[in-house]
Amino acid sequence: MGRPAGVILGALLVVLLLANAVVFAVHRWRPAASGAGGLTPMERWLALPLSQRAVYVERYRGLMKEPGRAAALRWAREFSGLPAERQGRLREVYAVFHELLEVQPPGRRGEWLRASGRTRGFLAFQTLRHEHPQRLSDLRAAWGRP
Amino acid sequence: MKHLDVQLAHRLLRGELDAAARAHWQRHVDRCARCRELLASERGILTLLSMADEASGPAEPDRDLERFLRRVDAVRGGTAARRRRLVGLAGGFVLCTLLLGLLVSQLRQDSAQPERSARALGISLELQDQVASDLGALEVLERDPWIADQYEAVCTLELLIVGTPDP
Repeated sequence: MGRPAGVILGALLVVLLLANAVVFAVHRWRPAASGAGGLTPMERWLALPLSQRAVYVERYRGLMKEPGRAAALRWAREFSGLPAERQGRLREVYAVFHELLEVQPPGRRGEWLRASGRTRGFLAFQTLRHEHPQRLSDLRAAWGRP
Repeated sequence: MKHLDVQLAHRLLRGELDAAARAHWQRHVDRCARCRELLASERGILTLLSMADEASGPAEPDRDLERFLRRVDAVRGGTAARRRRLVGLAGGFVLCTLLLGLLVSQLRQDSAQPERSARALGISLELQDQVASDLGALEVLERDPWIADQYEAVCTLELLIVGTPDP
């Protein structure tokens, strides 16, 4: 074991140190980039705590069990693709919708809930227009409608 | 049993013993570890002394002694350097092995992670793949649960508020 062996060993040591540093850095920093789009869905999944993963599995199973509920995943994907401003507006609309639904008499409320999604939206709009015209004007003004 | 002493060892090494005595002590040294060790040690000392004797020119005791000590230091230093190099190489080798092990275990852990996760959750890999690919949507539903039931109604209501004329 002379000088060449020492040089080779030294070079190997440096390479291994660098490789370990790279692997360590990837593991240390990648989970922190979650949501920044730098990770694959599986990497993001594995970065979650096990308890959180179990919650999502149960929720997914629940959605898959009920007929028609799978559409919720499609809507959620669609919603997440919207600009933040539009998402904020939809949340406001939901708050209005929820408020209107809550104050409906039980019979009418049941009618709303049995109706399809679009019909429910239409019924809410009719209520807003006839019973709360000022609120409708305020919302339109807030969203850039004169 | 009589053993070698220093004087006897020197005489044996210098070939000053007669044939019978030399044969006797060689047989003895073959069997006696203690005398073998003494002989080896004295041989080393005589070798060093003979190096000192190689000094050319007229005898100058001080200079010869100095040269002799330098040679002794050189021999010792060379051995120490070799030992240090060997220790360094062995240490480097051990460190390389540890680093390689760490790297391999880290990489193996990576590739086995999905499998371990599915096993820990008690689900199939296929189901895990589906849930993982819909993770974004599931996170949205966690933040905004109303989307599951009222998304269509809310979109319709928004459209009517923004897109219809005032009465």
